[in-house]
Amino acid sequence: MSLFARMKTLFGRSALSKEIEDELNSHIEMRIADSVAAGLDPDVARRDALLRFGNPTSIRERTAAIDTVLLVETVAADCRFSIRQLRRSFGFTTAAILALALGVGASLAVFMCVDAVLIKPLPYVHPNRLVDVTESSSLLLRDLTSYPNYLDWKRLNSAFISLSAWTPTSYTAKTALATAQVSGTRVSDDFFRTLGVSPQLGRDFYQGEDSPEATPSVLLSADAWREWFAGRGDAIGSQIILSDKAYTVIGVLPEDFYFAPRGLAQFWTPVGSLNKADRRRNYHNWFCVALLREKTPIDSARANLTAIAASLSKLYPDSNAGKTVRVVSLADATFGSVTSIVTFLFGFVLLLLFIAGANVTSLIIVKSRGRSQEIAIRGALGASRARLLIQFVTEGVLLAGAGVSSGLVLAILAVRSMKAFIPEETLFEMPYLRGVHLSFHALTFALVVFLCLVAVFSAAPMARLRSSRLQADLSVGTRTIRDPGWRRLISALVVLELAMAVVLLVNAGLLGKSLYRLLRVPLGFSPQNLSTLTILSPTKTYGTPVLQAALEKSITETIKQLPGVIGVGVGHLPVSDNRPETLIRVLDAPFHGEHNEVGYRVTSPDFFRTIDATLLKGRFFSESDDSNKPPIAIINMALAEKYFTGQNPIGKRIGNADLSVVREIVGVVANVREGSLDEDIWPALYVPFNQAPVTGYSLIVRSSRTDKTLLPLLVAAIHRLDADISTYDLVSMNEEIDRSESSYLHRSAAWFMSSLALLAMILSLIGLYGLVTYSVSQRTWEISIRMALGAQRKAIFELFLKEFIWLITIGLALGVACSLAISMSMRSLLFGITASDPSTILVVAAVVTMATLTATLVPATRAAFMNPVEALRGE
Amino acid sequence: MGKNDLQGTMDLLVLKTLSQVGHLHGYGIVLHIQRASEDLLHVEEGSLYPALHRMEQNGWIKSEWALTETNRKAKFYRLSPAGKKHLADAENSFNQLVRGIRSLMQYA
Repeated sequence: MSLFARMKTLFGRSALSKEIEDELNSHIEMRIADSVAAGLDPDVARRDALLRFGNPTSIRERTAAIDTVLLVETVAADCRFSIRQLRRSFGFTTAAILALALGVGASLAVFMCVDAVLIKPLPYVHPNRLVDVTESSSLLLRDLTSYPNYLDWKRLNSAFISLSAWTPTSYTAKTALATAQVSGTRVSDDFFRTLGVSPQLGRDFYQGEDSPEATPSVLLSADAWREWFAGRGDAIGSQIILSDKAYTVIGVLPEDFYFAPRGLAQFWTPVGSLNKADRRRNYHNWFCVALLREKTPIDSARANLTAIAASLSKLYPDSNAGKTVRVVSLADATFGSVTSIVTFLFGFVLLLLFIAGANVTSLIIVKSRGRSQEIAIRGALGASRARLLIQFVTEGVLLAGAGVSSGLVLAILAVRSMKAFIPEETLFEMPYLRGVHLSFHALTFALVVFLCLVAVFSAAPMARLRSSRLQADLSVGTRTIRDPGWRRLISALVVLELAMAVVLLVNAGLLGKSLYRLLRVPLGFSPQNLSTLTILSPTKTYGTPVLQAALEKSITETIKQLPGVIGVGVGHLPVSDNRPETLIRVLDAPFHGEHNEVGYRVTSPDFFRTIDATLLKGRFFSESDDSNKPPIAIINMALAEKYFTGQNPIGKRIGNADLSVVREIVGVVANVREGSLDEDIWPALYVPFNQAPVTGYSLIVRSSRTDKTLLPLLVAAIHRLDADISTYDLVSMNEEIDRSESSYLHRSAAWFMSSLALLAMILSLIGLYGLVTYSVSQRTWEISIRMALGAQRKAIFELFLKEFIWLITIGLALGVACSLAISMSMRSLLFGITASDPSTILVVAAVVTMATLTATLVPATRAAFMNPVEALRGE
Repeated sequence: MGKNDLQGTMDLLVLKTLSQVGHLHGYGIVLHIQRASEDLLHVEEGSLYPALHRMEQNGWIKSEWALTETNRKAKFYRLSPAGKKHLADAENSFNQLVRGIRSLMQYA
């Protein structure tokens, strides 16, 4: 019954109100009638009756408030009131929601990346027990491993359940349309068992399937299965031809399988037969991944492997001297540099979120100051503190809700466009980026942010209310009560906002400058109008050095005939990879078994002229430098500096490790940037193509027109010569530089930070502007009186300026100090500049000073030029 | 103790009044309590109506509009069976409270 009554009262609120009023009236009338009957004057009697009751409105409210269900209606009324409040101060509301949306949007988007990179485990059975194992030396921290060493590690270690080897490879595959190069990985037979991945179809490799005697078999990626077999089940057991060899399809890998260190690979084959190089201990061509035994810490595994590597060094000093081993978790190997970038970005977006929150909070405090009269009236009319708190919480919930939900939308849009802009290749190398989405973690993060905002937004005006006496507010009205405590709090918030904006600006400046330096790093060649592609000719047709040299010659000649082509060179693709590939010995120099690792580049006569490299000494190669002549070589400056310090290298001789081939140096070229833009230049040894022909190489073509249009013509020309030659990696040189990992990472970090810093700057300027405007408006009366008493405009102006210059100075100093500390730890992301780059800090300081002074001057000028008579009358 | 007990006292006074008089409007309740307590108890008129409303929501009393002897419209309250039961409980605990306080006061 009582519930029904309450429901009824909920719907019949006005009827209830009316009924209570009637009842109270009848009570008052009866009291008056009795008093009059007792001889009182009717007016006095009425006043007496009303006085006994107190405030009838308040009684009615209290009587109605008994209905607990009416809480629902109260909330609705509060919401309506809050929305009216927020709509009335439209500018404030828009600014607040916008600030919150940007802050929340940016932090949520980055949080989703953090979630994908740092929180979500790798998609394997025991992701925390997987480790990446490689050889290591003082020169190369993460070198590859030679196959014999891998076998010894596997045999001798006691730390791993299994240790598997893998190496990237590519196969020539023929389809009906063309001969294409497809990506593959050769793995030891226990590779997938180490990861804990089993095929979605078919079987895994059996033990011993990686031996040369086993029937060649292949596991397909889910992509390859669809592309080659249209996802049919009868793919299992069928044969495919890869690089002229038949493989039996034994299984299909799961849909979501990825192995980030390898990137994209369609065909997974067992190791099979090893070539001559792979049987050498100094030919580093393999990666290893291992599953730690249960409860074995990674440190003890490292100790175990290091001991094994030390004993191998003693056993095989020729190949293993100075070689040790590096064991890191697979997660570190997978995410590596991305982890630190994402962590930094997350720290920075949290700063932005803080700025946005502080900004809105100080606006709310300012606004609640203006509303103190309204609140005082409500208090006098019987609204309890709890009632007012509910009102503030409602406003906080609405504001934070609008901010967080629009931030959520922004974050989803940002992540979607980020995914769309990431180049395919990058996605293959960083497949976990595909996993960036609005996960449960991200939603929880958004909820936590929402709750924190609501707490701060409702606590701020409530604390403000507590500190002021309501009556005082009511009696004095808007005429200023000085409220120094609160002004100090807002000032502190503004100083913090400024400091954080400075931190963001300085770091954005550093990253921007790094990017600038990186893109202007001397290349040693000119990348304009260069088209490149890599070819691989079938060994079956071109089995001898003579045939290979002849093919290179005819390809070069054919391409030269194409319209617009200026020059063609064969050689190592610049800005791709500068892994050292060979060991050299300098003749006529002391030798103690050092590993002199240098890059080995097979180069055609026109290569240097085509890319526009600079000849420092001696000569380039010519057509006549063929196998009939004594072997010669050209070296780069880095090699000359390292092995011929202070000497003229021309005429000196360099041999390979066992001195079976000795070459005479005929030229020195300026360093060509062969690896990524932020890597050191490695010594490089260039040898004439005709003296050391190979079947796979890169063609670099300089043309007179835009490079993109040329690429299909090049492929067609080569296929006219021989349709069996596979062509891949068609790209223009500028594109190659742009999409290289180092420039991509630096570019995205710089862009991201710049936009963050810009947002932070705008937000803190809004905060500062709001503070000054508020301060001016609060002191209108004081200023008017000062002016009425003869104060000059200049004095008024200076009054404000002096006050805020202090704030700006403190904020700036604090910001610079913090950014020095923070950018120190960001050193790894910088290139070509120090973390305390003075010019960046000076520029930021100048920009911030200018911007903040402008934000201060506008309202201060308004104060100085107001009409004191009008202002006083207005009060 | 405290607020609840005072509220309980107001409830007790109102319920007892209604059980003695049968049915009565708010003003009558104020007068009755004043008269029956020999002018010792003055019910705060501002607190009476919220209390009446709450007791009605609890189902202890029922109300109806009727005419007073002076032909004025007023809302009359009467005790419900649930109210009678609650009154018995409340009287019981009130007597115990009084006995307890008296013993404490007379403790030598």
